[in-house]
Amino acid sequence: MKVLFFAQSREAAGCDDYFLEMEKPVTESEFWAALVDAFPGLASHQKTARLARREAYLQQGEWLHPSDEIAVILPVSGG
Amino acid sequence: MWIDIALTQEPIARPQIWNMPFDPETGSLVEFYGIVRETEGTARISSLRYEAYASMAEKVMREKIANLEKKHLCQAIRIVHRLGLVPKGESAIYVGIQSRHRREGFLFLQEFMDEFKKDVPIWKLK
Repeated sequence: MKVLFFAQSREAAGCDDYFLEMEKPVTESEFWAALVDAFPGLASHQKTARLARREAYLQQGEWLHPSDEIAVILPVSGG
Repeated sequence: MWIDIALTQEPIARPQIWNMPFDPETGSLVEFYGIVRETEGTARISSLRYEAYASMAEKVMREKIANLEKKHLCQAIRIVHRLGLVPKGESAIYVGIQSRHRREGFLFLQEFMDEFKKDVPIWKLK
């Protein structure tokens, strides 16, 4: 699963993107557990972050699949 | 509704020029410029840096516009958001809305910016 980082999430992760090993679909909680394991600096952002797939925010309860490209979206502040 | 969205590294000129003939039914043009202040929270700053998930930002903006268009019928919207370094005093965003009458233009702009601030994946960094 490819994970994309932007702005503050990129600063916390230290990279633009990352390939997260996933063999089966996972819940959002399972995704975060794996992500925080790889990037402990993201732990403090988990509560405020949203996830997006194919440029659309994930809805509560949606599963994430190994072939997905997931963006980690911290609170936005444009405009 | 005519829609023009641009994410640019270039300065946003004030005033903005619309490079298109106005719709003959346009009776109102409501415009908003978001400008970088010299304070961000309690810190004095000389500039802000803006970053976007550009493709998603445009997609989300188009979805917001499509939803708002059902409530407030307007003729055209033009959005320019600057990315990269934006010095204080310069514009980070321009939104212009053409409508038949001012009321729907003002309402559209207010609600669009509220939605923009919640969901459009653009970030400012000090």
